[in-house]
Amino acid sequence: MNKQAMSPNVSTFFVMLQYDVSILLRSWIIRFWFSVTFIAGIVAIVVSSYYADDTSFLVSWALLLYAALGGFVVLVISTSAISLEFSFLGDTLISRGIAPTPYVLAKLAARALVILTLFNVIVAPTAFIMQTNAISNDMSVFGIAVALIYWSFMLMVLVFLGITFSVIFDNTLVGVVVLAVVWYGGMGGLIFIYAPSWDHFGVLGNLPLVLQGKALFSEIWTILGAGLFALITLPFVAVRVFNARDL
Amino acid sequence: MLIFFFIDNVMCGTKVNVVETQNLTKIYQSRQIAINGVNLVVPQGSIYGLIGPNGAGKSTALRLILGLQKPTAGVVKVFGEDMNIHAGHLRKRIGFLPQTGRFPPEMTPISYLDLTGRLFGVPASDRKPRLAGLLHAVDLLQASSQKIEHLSSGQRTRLGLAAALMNDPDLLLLDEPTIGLDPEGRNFSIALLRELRSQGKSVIVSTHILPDADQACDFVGVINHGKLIYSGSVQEMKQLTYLNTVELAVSGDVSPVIDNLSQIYNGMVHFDRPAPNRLKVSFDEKADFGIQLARILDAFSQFEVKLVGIDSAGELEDAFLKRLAEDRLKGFVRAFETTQLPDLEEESIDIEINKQS
Repeated sequence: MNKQAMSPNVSTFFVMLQYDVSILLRSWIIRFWFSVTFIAGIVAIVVSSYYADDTSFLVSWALLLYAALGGFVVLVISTSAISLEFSFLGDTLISRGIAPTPYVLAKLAARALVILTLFNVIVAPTAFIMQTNAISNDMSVFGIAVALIYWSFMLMVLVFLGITFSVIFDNTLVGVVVLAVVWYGGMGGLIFIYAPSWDHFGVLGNLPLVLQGKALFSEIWTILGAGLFALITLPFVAVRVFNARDL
Repeated sequence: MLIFFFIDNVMCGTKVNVVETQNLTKIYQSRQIAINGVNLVVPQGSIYGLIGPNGAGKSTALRLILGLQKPTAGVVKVFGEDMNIHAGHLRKRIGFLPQTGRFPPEMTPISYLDLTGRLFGVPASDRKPRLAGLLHAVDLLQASSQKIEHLSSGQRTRLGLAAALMNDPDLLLLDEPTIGLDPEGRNFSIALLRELRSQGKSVIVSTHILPDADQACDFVGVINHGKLIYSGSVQEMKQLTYLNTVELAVSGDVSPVIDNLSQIYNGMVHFDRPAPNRLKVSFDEKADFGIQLARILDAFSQFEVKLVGIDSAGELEDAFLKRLAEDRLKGFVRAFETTQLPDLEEESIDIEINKQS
């Protein structure tokens, strides 16, 4: 797009987006997590090539671990997005001709973009390689796609929640702790309510069935609808809270 | 003088006020009153100094003008439009030097100025040469690739100044621009202000270093405890303290002149010698300033004293301290007179009745 033709808010949005992505690419947390998931992906492929466990079972565990451990990385990255900048935000960024809305939206977009890329670049190839190379594969392409979309939505909601908390709490540590309580408490609560038993089949629930391509469309639309509602609502909340602040 | 400026600039339609505040008030959640009913008018093309003691509310005033903070009451107009946090298009025409010296720590001066230029919407073809020119002008070329967190406070101030000029702004808001700078840096800042004024730019500079304000500013506003207790030209403010006083630079022995004139005037004119070659002359307020000064000059020629120069005797610092003392005294008087004050409402009713009758 011709930069001259862009409205000032759109051009500042893209400048901030680029600025934030460059910050994230220099982040040691991101580099560390990328390395860990890359190694874990190779291990998963090797394991599925030598052990007879069903791939849907292995990938389900991998996704659950991603939600638990990777969730914490996402939580830290998103909750620190704005709160870490509060000390110089007004003086050195907002004073340079930015309105709050493009700033907050750029933060949401940049963090979501990096987190989704980080997740899909590792997990998607791993799942598809396991599907073709594993001794005992029971996953379908449709099932893998649905599971990846579910997880992408979940991570995006966590990013948006984190950035909203980042606007609310000046102190990053307090924001991380509060969101961790909400996130892990929510996950534990869901497992406690819906898991039929406390063995690994109970904890994984219907996830292996989803990977096998047996998800019900009503379930898919319900989950996507809930995710979309959160993704549409949270930016409004974040911008509104941000506007009420003195910088 | 402000009235003439107003007539010249507004009535003739050539210039407008770049900043106008009406009853601007800011009360923080901690119930601290930072700014209290400030009415500020900054004419285009002038340098306006906001002076006051530490914690007086100068920085808050600048942040309110920039829209970074929301006023509790009152209005801020910049370039004739309402300023608020959403007015990014107005901020694109403003350069701001904050006092805090905080920047994104991981960035270098080059990357930060480039980001600033892109946020301001400066085209790439203009951005690179301007960035290099500003880094050179503020003497940061050597440190341009270092991380900002490793820069000294003076270097950060200079970086802030460069960033404030990245958009070639119509209005500059400078919060303590000479703090942390060496004498050369201070002189550079003051020269820069004058250069910007000559280009028709408007500047609001907050400072508690009064000689800097004296050298650079056309107008000053004195803020104390959030209230604007004086606003006007620098010369007027000085004159308020030393009415009918001039300082004469002379060469030759002025002692016989002083002896002679003291006998003639008998208390109507006071002489003081702050330095061997300087004579401070204070006239009685009732005396005709021009006639008395002419007589003194006659006496100079009679006693072969050479006049080298005439200066206004008032110092901005003296005027400032006097203003603060008056304001403080008013506070005490108000505090002690509250029980004796007449009921203003009743008094105004009486006046209305008298007028009608």
